[in-house]
Amino acid sequence: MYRSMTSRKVRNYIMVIVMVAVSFLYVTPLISIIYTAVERGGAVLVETGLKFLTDLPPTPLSTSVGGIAPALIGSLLASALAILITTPIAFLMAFYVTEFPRHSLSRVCEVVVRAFSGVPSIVVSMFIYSTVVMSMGTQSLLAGSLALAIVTLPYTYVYFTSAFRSIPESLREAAMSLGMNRVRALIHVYVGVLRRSLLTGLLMSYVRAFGDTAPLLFTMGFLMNAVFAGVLQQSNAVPLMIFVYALSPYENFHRVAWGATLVLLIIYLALFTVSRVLVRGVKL
Amino acid sequence: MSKTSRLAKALSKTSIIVVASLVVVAVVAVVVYNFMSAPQVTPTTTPTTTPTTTPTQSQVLISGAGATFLAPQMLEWARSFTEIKGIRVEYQSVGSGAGRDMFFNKVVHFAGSDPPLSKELYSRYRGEVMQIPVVVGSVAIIYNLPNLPEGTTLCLSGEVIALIYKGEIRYWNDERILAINPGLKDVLPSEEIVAVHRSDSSGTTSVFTTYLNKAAPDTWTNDLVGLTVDWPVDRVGRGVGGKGNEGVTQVVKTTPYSIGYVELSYAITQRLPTAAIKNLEGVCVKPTEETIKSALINAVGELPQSPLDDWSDALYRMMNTRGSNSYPIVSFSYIFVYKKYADAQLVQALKEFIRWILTDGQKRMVPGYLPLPSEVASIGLKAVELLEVG
Repeated sequence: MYRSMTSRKVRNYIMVIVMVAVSFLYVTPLISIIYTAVERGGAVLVETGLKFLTDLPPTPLSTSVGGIAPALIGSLLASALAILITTPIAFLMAFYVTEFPRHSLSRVCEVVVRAFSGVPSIVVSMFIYSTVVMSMGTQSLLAGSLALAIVTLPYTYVYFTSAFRSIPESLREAAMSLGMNRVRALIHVYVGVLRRSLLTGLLMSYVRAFGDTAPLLFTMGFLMNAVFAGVLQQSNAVPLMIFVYALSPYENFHRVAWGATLVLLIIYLALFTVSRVLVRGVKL
Repeated sequence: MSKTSRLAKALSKTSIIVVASLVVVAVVAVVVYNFMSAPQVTPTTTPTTTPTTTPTQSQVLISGAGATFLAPQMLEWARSFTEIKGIRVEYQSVGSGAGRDMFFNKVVHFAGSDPPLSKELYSRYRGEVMQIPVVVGSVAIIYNLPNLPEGTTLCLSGEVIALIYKGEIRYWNDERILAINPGLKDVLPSEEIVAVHRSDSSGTTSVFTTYLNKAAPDTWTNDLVGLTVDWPVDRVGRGVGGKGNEGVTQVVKTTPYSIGYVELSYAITQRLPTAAIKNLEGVCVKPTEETIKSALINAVGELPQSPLDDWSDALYRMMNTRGSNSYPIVSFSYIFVYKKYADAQLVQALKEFIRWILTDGQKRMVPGYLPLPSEVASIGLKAVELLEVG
């Protein structure tokens, strides 16, 4: 009796240690990434200050580090446009699928979205390139946004469906018993109840669009010599710029890439924190 | 019955919401577009030169895409040209292949490419596309011989390099290596040579293998020339692949007794030890600006004399040229432009851009990139006259 207790305790301790070690292994790379980005990028941001957000990127012969203005504006706008495109579609699809789960159209929606989430984003990029870009005759911020929209749609959809599924059946029945139809219930009850989790879904989709590189490779172009040229003109994006600048052999390019990485990380963490706070605020 | 009518009602409401949200999206998009495109941001400095051409210069945009090798130099040129002439140029580094695709699909105005058009592509676009060499490239042989004393230079011939990459020369103290390096008889070890090559499709590989083919045609046959090669040395287990110039460098740095080849600009910026190569006149020559220039001046006579000509075998022709001070491995990077563009302003802008990069631009070279000798630049300058509206 006594012996079996100790062996259980010992096994428990061993498992706890293993779990802690494994989770430590899992967290270490993340911490190391954040640490390196803060260390290297921080130096650049401290040196350049706010000009890093408003200046044009450097060239190999530049003596200064310059800034990431075209990429920052391009990313902010393209992700916003992408969200603007996906949100109504994802919202309606999620609503429809959760309200009529057995309807054949719902099943089609499910399958299509799942298929979309499995498509490599570079393929999406090629698709938009061969359709939108080639017919427009130029790469553009709009084409980049469309590619981002296709890539983020499954994410937004999943956030929205899980939000709709979290509505308690009692609330739904209460709404129906008051004589509301589904649309009225959506407008007067569900949206009110779900606004925070829907907003969280939106923010997370925005973050997701903001950090994606591959959909933009052939669609966005590359903007170096103007801050912004128009929605139908070539633009730039923060991850795209990091990708190109990090692969070059120049010291000032690497510094810009690190600075841009830190900016990306800060934006990501800020939006992520906001969305967590929103989730905490959800009360049912 | 009641269920279906409710569904119909719900759907009609849904459709109202769909239409409403689409309208909102459209309105917001238009507002954003107008708001954002109104304050057109011009580059840091305003053009100091008086606009001699068209008054609406700033409306023209020249876009290019292509070779990653060309990208740093192009970014530099694009920025300088934008600042000096007030015509905005943008270049995206997507690789020679993708850049060509964008160019032929008229998504961009010009392409940057390491290899010229192949014979087949040339005959398809004959008279339509002009190929202009804009910078000089070269391939350096790098090596890792830990016990080689400081200040000594390894010399290799095309034949020896070909035999190493075929796996037929196995040890560093092989008599064929010693024969070229009599001074290194006691230093070259009896160690197996590890031959490092690119694992990805690469213009550097194409340049390197073309040189081997020209210098040692019997050893390095035609089927071993190209962007990717089925390396004979891999079959005997002494070949290693690396991705990109940085990959090859990394493998060579960490593998004692290895040899590799990289783009010269990369070897220069990374300060790698480079081997001298025995040229056509039997002199061991290290890759420097001077030796490469010498090679090009000797090769000019062999080159096509117009941007409209077939440049497909220019690479082969310029390898291993005469001149006792000529480094034997040289290449060009090209830009491709159409002979005719519909937009007159664009034609004017392109003319200015091409003229500028072949003259003033050649004085603004990024470290590691070599300017064209004026003899070669003048071939490209003919394109300025040939460009027309149509």
